[in-house]
Amino acid sequence: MDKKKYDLIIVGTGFASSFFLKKYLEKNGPKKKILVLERGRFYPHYDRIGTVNGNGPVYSNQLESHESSFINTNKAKPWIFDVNFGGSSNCWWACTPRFMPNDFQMNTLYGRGEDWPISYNDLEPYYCEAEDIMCISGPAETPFPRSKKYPYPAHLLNLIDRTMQNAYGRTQWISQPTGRPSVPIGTRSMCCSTYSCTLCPIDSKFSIENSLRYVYDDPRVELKYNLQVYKIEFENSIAKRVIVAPTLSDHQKFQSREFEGEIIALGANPIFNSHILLNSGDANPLTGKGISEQKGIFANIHLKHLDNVGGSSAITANGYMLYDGSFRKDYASCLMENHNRPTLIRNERGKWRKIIRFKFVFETLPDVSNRVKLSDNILKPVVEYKDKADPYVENGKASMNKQLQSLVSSLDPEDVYLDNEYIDTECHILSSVKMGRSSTHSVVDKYLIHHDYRNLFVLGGSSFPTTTAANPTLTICALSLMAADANF
Amino acid sequence: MLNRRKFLRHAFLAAAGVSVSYAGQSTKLTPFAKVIRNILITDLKGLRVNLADIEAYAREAAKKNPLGFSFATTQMMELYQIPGVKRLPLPSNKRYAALRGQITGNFLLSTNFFQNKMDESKEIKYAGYIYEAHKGACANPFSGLYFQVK
Repeated sequence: MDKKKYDLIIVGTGFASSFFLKKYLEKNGPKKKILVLERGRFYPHYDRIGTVNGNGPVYSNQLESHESSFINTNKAKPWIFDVNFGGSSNCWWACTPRFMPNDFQMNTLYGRGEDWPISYNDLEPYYCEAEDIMCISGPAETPFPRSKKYPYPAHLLNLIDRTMQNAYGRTQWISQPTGRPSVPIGTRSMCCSTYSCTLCPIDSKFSIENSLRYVYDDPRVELKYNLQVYKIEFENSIAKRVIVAPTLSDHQKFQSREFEGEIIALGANPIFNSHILLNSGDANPLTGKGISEQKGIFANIHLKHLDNVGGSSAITANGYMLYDGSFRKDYASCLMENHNRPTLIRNERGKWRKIIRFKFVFETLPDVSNRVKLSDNILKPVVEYKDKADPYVENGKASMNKQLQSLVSSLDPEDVYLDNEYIDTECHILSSVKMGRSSTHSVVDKYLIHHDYRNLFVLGGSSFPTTTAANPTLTICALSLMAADANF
Repeated sequence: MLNRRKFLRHAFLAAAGVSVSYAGQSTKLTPFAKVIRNILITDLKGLRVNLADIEAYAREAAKKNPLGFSFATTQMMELYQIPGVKRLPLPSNKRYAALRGQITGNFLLSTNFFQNKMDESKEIKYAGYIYEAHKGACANPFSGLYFQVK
């Protein structure tokens, strides 16, 4: 075992870990020692750009792929993430709507899913703080209450959005709040709508690498790459140490290492947070259960008169007309997005850009039969996901489809074409170590501390008891800030 | 002087209504480049576009495959060039229409057409390189950078 003992050991360098670490460093003195263990390596933006342009770095063949890091029993259902420094901040699209207040009270209000152990108001100051850290560009008016303005002005709406906003009002059709900046910020250029956010060609969107790397340069922090934490050892219900393997090890013969910490914070994604806990013998029957994400489907709408032009970002707007109401007793909430994709062109003379592509994202209710399990390989979890049609979601989609023509009537549509299939992934891995008030119904408490191991934080989207229609990242970051603020 | 083949090609293009000016230089096109050229000639009927530009794009696009077409896809599209096939009620017709739309869209994105605000009276010029997000960042011609919406 490495003899050095740390005050805090953090697993991962994605959103959840980085925001937690930032707050921890702010609230603690200069003598603290923090170890951060990252399973991937530092794969910087310029090397990623080189790779897509055919000039990848010399270490390309040493990069771990996300697909090979776990066993997926349902190949039709991909789970997308990035295994390197900064985690999925490298590949996210930087959409940062907040959740709505009612999202936190699903059971009380609608008799569906579960209530969160926190309210919107509890999280609101941390939403503001996360938005400041990410330099979010957002509108003056929003459907969710705010105690503070967005730090940067909203992106320009396009012609379609303006028409929709005139029809539905300024709080129902809004310029999307986003980490794709509307103005240059530091070394980050303003977003210019390339619509290639998975790897932003100009490094404009917020990422841990371009905006929070400095927290890892703090002299109190020691960052080690290429080490996969696969287990925690407990003594008397106290998490004592983490056990690691070199990344890409042969699971039958590898040299493990141990690091001891006063406090341990798991900041991996829900697949690996669950896997570490299961490998460690966590007896909570809910650990690993309920892995989920939203369902999204696109519609193309051909227009008679309007050109889809203008707008200053990749996804220009969000629509909230189908988001909240008593209908959630019967069917799922839906958030609309307007995708400003340059390749969206009609092959008809005179109608080239009289076309729009809206995405409809539905909330889902986590199903405990979808789960993360152990495999014969101690380093690889199994994800078992039965993508069965959930009536709650299907009824939401049917309702949306029924209303679609009237929803877009202000745009004077020529034809509306809803895709036949859902998109296979929203790239949001959620739930599986859910938060709640007691260990009977949940694994972690409202500050993301494990009910049974009180020096163990389990951060990130794994804690979500329900999966809302809104993008989860901002909420993940706010939860990390709140957890660290309340406990240090 | 026009040989018989060139004469017939010009006659075909004139019949298709494409206003072409032939620059005279032409290396042989691969079968899939010919598919691209034929699609563009048909779908851009009535627009002011230079055949040399179409062929230059077709040559480059067939080589670089910017739309990521599989070999099977290119083979399927080549089949559609056989006279009469387009009129058959094939299950792949819808897909073929979508794919040809992608080719036309990618060509137009690689020209000055959208920068000219889709003004069909202006001559369409190929930029000399294919539209690719990572090589031509900030080139979304529909964005607020290029279209000011009042």
